[in-house]
Amino acid sequence: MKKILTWLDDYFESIFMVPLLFSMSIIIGIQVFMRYVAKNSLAWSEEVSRYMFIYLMYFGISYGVRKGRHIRILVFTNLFSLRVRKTLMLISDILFLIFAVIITLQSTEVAQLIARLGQITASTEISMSVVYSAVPIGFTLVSIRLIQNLVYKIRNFSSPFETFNHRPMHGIKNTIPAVGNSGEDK
Amino acid sequence: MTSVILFGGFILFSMLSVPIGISLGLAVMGTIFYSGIVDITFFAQGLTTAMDSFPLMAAVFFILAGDLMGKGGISKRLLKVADVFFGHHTGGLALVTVVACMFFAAISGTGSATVAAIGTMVIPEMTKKNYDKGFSSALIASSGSIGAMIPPSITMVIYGVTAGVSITAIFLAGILPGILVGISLMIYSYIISKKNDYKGEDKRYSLKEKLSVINEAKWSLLVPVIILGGIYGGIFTPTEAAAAAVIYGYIIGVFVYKEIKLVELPDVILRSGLITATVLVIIGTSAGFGRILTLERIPELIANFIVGVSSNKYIIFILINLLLLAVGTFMETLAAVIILTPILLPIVTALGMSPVQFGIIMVINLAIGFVTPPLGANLFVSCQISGVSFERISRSIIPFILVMAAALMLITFIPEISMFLPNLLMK
Repeated sequence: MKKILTWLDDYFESIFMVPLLFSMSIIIGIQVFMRYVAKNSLAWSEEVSRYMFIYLMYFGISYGVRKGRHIRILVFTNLFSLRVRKTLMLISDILFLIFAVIITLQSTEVAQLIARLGQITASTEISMSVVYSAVPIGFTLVSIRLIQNLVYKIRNFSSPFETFNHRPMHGIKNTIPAVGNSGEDK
Repeated sequence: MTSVILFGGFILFSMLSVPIGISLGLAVMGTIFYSGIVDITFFAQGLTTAMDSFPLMAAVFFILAGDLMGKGGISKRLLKVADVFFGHHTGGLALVTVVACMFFAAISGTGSATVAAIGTMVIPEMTKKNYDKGFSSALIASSGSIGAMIPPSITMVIYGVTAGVSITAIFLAGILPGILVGISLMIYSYIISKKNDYKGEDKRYSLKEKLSVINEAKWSLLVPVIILGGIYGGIFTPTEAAAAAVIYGYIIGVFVYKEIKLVELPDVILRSGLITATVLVIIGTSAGFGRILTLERIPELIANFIVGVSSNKYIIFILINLLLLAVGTFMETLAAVIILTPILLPIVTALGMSPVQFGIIMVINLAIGFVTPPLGANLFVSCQISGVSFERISRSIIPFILVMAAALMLITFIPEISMFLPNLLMK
């Protein structure tokens, strides 16, 4: 049981992200193939891949919190002493959490409203509320991840900054280096 | 007052190291709670609607394609091609670096991916040949920034989505300016190499050898042909081209060059999805931000202020360039595009500049900001690879920045450099 939980702690979002991104690329590939080779345009492919993309992004934002990969500007906080810096880090995580909780509540309302209105998607005719649920699901996960991180950071407040700032992965080492000032790219 | 909360909040939160996208979101939320000019439901809805964009999907595919190509042995082969053509000149390795970055830029959509892919291979070679380490790491940082200038480019995709401009047109417009920046960097490197006597390689390649190297790299060289040719030939939309590049990358990396194992594929996919999400998180908050800007008439206020400073359109263009450079130095690129496009675009179009050309100017400015100390992210990547100190690269990068700024001035004042290809091919 514990094993399963730690595995989920490391990989939960990726269970969705990898299949989503892989199938998005294949679906768009099929779309091009059908239009140019089979001369038969698909009606659903663009729409479905767009909705998969929305889910991919919101799972990804949550996984970004798990892995500590969000793009932050650290030059200003780096000017302070270690203690202040760690406190500011906690404050910024709490601000992030406030944002996540408000967004979760508000976007849940939006999804419910859309469900009541009975809006459906253009070509696949599924309920639009499924699409709008990506945000509340994503930000619920973000909130959970942030709380996990906050608990970890408070417990490890006296550790060196890097250890304090990055909750380690259980299974594999965190192979992706932490992002510095303005991020991976652009 | 509303705009003070909006911009002040954004600056405050980002200085507190709240993630950039979330900082903007918090600032928008604070403004909404303070003034109620936009409904909070509209903002929450915007998190879905702003992401619901087919052109935007090109970003994730181009990042994934670039990653697949970088790992799949394509960059190595591109470098070899540049080497057989330019390696024997004075400053051969420096020229090879710039050319390889330009090739790779036509595959990858980002600057730092280009620095990482080419830099890791070139810097050790340059050190062996006694190039000054400060020079070589500054060179790779600045030529890597061409990755964001030559299409495909993530920054161009985001600009197109934000400004409502055809991404195909921006991609076309970016080709010549990107090459111009590349050539400027080559000329500067050549002059420096001549002065410091950095010799080229002794070996000259025969035509037959050249052809065999090209043949070995044919799968890599085909990528830009598929992407750009496909888009301009009207076969693909940019997003479809990006997805095609991904599928091509799977096949070449896993089956043809066999440098990616099938079991490693999920990791590469996950990594790209993760990077894209952390970069695009700001898109969701942009809808609410844009709405407040419009309702508060902030672009008009800033336009009036700028026009008040000078009515000469050349001076205004220079001021806007300086503003973009300064912002590009301190702010993350996509955040800068999303925040500045709605503010500046109306000003420059009123002065007769095409939104397409302005997109190119913005992309290049922000790319230069990306290599400008004290924050330029490309400098950090390059320092990590070469092991030189940040102080040293900060000194060596200055002439490169000046060279790129000179090219930027040409691109600003000669619209044809950007507009020639779109005018020629999109009629």
